[in-house]
Amino acid sequence: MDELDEHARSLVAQAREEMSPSAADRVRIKRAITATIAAGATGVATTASAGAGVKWFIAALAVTAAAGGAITLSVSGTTPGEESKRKAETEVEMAPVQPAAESPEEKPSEPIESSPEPVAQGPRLRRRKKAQATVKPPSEPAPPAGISLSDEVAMLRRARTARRNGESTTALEILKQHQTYFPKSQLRDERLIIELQTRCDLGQAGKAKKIASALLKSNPQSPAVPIIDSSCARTE
Amino acid sequence: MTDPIQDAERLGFDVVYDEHFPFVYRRVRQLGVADALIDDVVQEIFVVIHRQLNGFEGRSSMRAWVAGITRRVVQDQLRRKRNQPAGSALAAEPADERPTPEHVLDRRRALETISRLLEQLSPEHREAFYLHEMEGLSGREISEVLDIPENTAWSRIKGARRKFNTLLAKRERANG
Repeated sequence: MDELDEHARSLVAQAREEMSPSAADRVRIKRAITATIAAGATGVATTASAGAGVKWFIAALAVTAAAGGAITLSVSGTTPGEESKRKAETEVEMAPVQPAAESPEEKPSEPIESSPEPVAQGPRLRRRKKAQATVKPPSEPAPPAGISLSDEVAMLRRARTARRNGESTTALEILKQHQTYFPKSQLRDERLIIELQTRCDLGQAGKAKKIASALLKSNPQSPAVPIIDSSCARTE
Repeated sequence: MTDPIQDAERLGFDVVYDEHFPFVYRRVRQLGVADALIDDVVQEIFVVIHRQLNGFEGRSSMRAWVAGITRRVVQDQLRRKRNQPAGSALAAEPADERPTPEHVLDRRRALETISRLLEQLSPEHREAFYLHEMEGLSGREISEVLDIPENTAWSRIKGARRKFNTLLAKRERANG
């Protein structure tokens, strides 16, 4: 009687299967997690809820990020007795990351996303277009095989770190690379926020304003509004 | 993409996610999180895992470590959202729309049956039964997750099995 009988085991197995997530659940939630982790680099977090879009995970986090300060990601999830331990474990400053060593050789100009990138059309179409072109376009590095959302996160984190370290050119190169690799990225807003801040760092208020317009046009309720309002795109 | 440390970090998290996502998802449902909140709670759990992964020392199994984080995050979530009590039942409704062939209906009936039976177990037995019988955690792992002696964990598993078998037999008799 200490073991489950066969019928019980069968029921348990079926119930377990019924409770299990679908492949779509796995992908959807992974994307949301990746975006949230990326927010550690930009100060913006997303929710996994369908259609919910980007939201402030913690308002103070974004303010800190906008000010170029240390980024922390506070996550609740412990019993009250473990509160202090949890805070120590989860409010960890984002570790500095070295800028990407494989930044593209093309000139780091205008990573502002204004139109769909041909890179998004896939290798086959891209090759055909290349053959038809009379003028060889500038190099457009395709994403390496197996590239994932985590790579996007890593790139944006590098860009953020470079900017924080005062390496604005490097930051823009990385952002350009990100735009090239991920022209339809769900982290587009995060990329544009970093670029806006970098442009402001460089005193390029005009370009910053264009980025702000692009951000607000695509999403007037963007959680980036406070960052935009406090940036050179508004104040200059 | 070129930084081996970064890549190793990423690979580590991705592997943990791939391996433990189904468990976390089921466990969040089992602990009574509302369907509308499941995605957010699972997401929050994995953000914690991502942040703490480098601090994992291997003193417990990875599964027990993930289970511990899952339990704490869900408990906190349930407190914040004033949701139903933790571990009150298995979620009987699927989180999304799925095809409904016969075997899916069977699975749903099985889940409903299991849910009804687990509702009749004590919270301690229910927790031990779920983690051992449905998720395959060992007595030692359960002791780590629940912070109880291993002997106590095994005792609860056996007691829960006995009770479950009795309840199931009773239900079968009642249904003819």
